[in-house]
Amino acid sequence: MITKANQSEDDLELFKKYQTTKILDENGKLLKADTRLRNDLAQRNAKLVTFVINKFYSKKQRHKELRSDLLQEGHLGLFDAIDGFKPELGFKFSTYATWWIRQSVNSYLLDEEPMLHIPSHIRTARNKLFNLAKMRSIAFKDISKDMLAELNITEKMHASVVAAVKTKSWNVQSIDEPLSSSMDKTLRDVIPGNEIELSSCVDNKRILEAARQAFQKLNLREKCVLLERYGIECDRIVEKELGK
Amino acid sequence: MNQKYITIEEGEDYRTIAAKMTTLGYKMNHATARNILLSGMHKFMRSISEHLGKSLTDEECKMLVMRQDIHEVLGDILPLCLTEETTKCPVEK
Repeated sequence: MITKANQSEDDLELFKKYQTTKILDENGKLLKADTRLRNDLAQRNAKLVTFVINKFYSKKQRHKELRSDLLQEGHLGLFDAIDGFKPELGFKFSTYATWWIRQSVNSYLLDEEPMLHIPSHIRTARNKLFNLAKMRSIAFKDISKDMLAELNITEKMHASVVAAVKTKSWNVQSIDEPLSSSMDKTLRDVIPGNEIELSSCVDNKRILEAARQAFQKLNLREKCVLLERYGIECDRIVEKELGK
Repeated sequence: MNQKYITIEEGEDYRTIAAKMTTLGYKMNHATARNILLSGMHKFMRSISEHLGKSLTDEECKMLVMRQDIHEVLGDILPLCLTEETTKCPVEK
């Protein structure tokens, strides 16, 4: 019977074996490794990705919609974790890999969510600044230069963050996206349009004029029934017609 | 299927219309109210089509009159027919 302890011991052996197959350059970047062994390790730990996705990315509707994409991204993160894991440090692989999986999924979500691309360093700076403002209970605009220095954020970067926040690029919504999951209406349907084509205006005017003349041709009884059917009081029409 | 009644979301039912018309001096029951409405709409459709240079046949008019969406649209057009002033096109200056 394969127990959890047995499996982790096996994994550890495999990781040690995998370490020996890795060829790194002078900067520590992985050049070559035994891909078969890596795939084997990834298969053995695939359930970890599902676990992380279920735990951290299963509540929001958007995450539910992107579930299959998130699982894929999580697996890419798992590969990175396998490449970077050092068994000699004595930590469990799942502890190390969880962070890689979350990082991979988070960066995918950040790339995916805003319609306008915001560079990752600006996003990180923005998150840092928001966290700082929240911690010190101050407004985002009240962040001073000293505080920026504390976070190693340059003034130029701060200006970019402010500009990005001002443009509300984090809240950009597609005009064709439904307003909510239960509604068919999109933002396009709700926004009042300023540009109306002249041709459609002319057509509408023609139809309206034709409708007016057609209505005049009806007799009083028909006019009244038609109007009453749509909840329009016909008293005025009757008075007008009888007055003639 | 030969349907005789069309339901609209807003507005009066035929019995209420018949009662109101009776008080106005046009004695009728709900079925008469319905027939008058349908014939009125028939006439209305035909006149509109003539004004727009596309004369519809009787059959076409009958089909149109029995369409739910036409009934709904008519609810938007009729109040505009009563207003005297012509609505200005926003593009026009």
